[in-house]
Amino acid sequence: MRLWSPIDLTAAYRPVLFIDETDNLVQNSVGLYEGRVRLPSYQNGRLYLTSHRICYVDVASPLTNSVAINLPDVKTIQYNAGFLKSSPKITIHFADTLSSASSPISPSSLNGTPQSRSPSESTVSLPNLTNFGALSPKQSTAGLISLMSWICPICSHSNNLPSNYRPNVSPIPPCTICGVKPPESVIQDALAETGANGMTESLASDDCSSISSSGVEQEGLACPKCTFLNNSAMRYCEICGTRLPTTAFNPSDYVLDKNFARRESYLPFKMGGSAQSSRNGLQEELPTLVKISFRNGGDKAFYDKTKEVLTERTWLKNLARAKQVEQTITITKNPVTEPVQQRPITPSFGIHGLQRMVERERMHNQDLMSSLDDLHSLMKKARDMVSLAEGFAIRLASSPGVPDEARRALRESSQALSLSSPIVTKEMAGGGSDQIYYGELARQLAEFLDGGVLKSEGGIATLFDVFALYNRARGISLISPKDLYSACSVFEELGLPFKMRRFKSGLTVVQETLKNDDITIRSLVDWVKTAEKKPSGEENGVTAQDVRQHFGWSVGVCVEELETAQDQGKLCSDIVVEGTRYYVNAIADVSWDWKYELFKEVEKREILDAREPAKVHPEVSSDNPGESMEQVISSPHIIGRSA
Amino acid sequence: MSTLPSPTSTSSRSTSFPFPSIYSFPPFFTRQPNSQTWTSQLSLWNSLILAYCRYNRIWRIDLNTAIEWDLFNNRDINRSLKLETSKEVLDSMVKKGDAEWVSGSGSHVSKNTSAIIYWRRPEEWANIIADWIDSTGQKNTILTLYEIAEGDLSLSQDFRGIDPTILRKALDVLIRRGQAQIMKSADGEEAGVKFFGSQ
Repeated sequence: MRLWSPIDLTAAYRPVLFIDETDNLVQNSVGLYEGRVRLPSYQNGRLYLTSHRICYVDVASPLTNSVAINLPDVKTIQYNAGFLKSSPKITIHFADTLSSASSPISPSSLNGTPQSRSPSESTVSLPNLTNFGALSPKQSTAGLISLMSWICPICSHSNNLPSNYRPNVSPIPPCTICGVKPPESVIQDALAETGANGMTESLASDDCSSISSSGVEQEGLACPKCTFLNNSAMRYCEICGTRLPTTAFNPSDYVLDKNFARRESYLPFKMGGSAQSSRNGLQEELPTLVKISFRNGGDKAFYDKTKEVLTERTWLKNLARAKQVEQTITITKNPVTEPVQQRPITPSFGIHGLQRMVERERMHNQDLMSSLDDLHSLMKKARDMVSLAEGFAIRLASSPGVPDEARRALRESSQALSLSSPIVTKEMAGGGSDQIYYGELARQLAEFLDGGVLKSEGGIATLFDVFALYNRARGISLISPKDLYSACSVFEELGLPFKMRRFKSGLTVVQETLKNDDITIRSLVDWVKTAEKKPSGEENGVTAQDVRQHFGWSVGVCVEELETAQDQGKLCSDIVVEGTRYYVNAIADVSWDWKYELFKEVEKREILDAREPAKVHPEVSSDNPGESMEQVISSPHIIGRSA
Repeated sequence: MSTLPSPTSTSSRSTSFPFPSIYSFPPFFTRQPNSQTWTSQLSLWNSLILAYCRYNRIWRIDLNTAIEWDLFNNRDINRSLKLETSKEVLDSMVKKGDAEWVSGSGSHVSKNTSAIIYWRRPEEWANIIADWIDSTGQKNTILTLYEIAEGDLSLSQDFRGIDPTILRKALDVLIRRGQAQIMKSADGEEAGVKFFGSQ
């Protein structure tokens, strides 16, 4: 799995998208190949085509087996129609130079740690090759070519030196054009010469990426703004305070998807060593193509759409914006609460820092003011506003002493502004069936509900409410009630933490799977037990309105829950003209031995028949005059008779 | 005989029937939709009606008037049992044998509004009457039905003022046991009953 790299998933098992990344197409029942090898545990999943990636989410184990390839790395794609038992496939060829290098996004590979690389890389002849962790594509390519190439004395072709080449040890490689081995001196000359060239080139580069060859690192880091050579331990320029490029990548950088966006825009990253190997005749070891097998159709649509996305090259357009967003986030992060090893924060010290801060404040204020001018400008600024709100949210969340209401209000407002991920449309399911569309819709709904919407509805929301809330969040391309219903019906099938529940009356609600009906009813009944008593101790029952106030459900849900509890015999109702009040069911528990209580008759009727007649005989009762009616009535008579 | 309690003293109890606590539970007056709860509710109503009738020595209930009684109306909590619910209650009592519908013979009352309440079953009444006959030494004498219900000797008895229909059923039990025999007058009317000693 070199070409496919692991990805993050949302709670609903959809890929976490980068900023500016949009969903385009989804297809289910696909399997993956790398090179010509079928990947055994990646044979049944959903394929998402986004503007930046092709993501595979495994059905069986989405958390471990979900991977993606980055579209910027793709050179060509090719469509293979199915034949007999072979499913139609799309073959994706990677640019040779990038193939193995750019894709792995696992934290370990980000660090440039060599353990995941082939052994050959640890024995590279040139110093510091493994330190090339964070080269930008342009720079690394340029630097490496100059570092590693030698000119064939026969045909003048500029050849690349294999990464595992060791002077005096490895056999001298032949020229890739004419096949003639050069004299050893040519190679040595090239090594000596290009080493120096590489350094100067790197220094001359004004890209903000790193300067990574060891020689430069020893001397210090050149500030990209003022070119002052800082000590390599510095993170900010000592003169102007500009952030210095760093050489090592920190895995924590990739926690926020904003950072993903940035990294994405800088694609491809190189792991120096593996880049070398793929550039130097090791291609036969590393596959440069992947295949996607479509077991359930949709192949043609996917192919067409992928072609379209590749032509559009959205990632390039969004480069500038991604940078901007990153900046916003940096400012709004609270420096105090950030762990030290987190991404470096813009320094807020010195005149320079103050100036910049004021400048930014002013810009934000301008944004706020101008965006409120009219709706049109708000629309234009919508994305900025959202990112600003997110920034505020981060700051609020990390600073103590902020009232909860403020936090909640902020969260809700950002919810109301937009969905966290691009809206799911029918077109996304492309050539596929409605089933795919509903599946995706269900996943997005789950994300939407998970984001606090269901909580604010008390954990149970009617389909009407969900329909209204979700469509409001969508804003455009609204879904129909039927779509919503179909999407909600597949919640459980997809293993999402929600379920649809239909009450006896036909009212349909969406609720968390965890909260099964028994638990809900139990908590309801427990609450009724305490709530039905008036302060005076008199039982007064509860109404649906009371339940609403306590549980936050809508009234319809309250009535249904109460009636469900009643159907289970836990509650009983008192229906009067004023409405229905509910009480804990005392009727079922009460037993009333009226014969004993009122008439002091201990025995049951059957026993009475079996007993000696004397027991109920007046004579006996005359012996023990009691309060029982029978005796009161009969005793005087007997006395009268016997006297 | 002057010590005998007068019927009026008996009827004066009706105001002081000690209602059970469930009588003050508002849902008790609403027909519960849950079948299990309803079964339980029915049996409570059954007990309440039997107790109330026995306490007040009521033999028959005509729902058209009885629905106004405090038995079906708790004015303290302002709840009352609906007529149809009370009919259901009586229906279930009839099924259990604790009551019996009286067909509205001759009267204009619609079917199933009037019922005999057996706060003692005819078999029990038969035992009690037999015991009474035994203890008062009236064996082998002939008593009219009126004498049993209203005679001097039965003044303090539980079956004092017993409904003729119930009495007749109790006597039927005794006849089946061979302890009594109905004597008919010349014109074929039931004139009296003769009791035999229980051997």
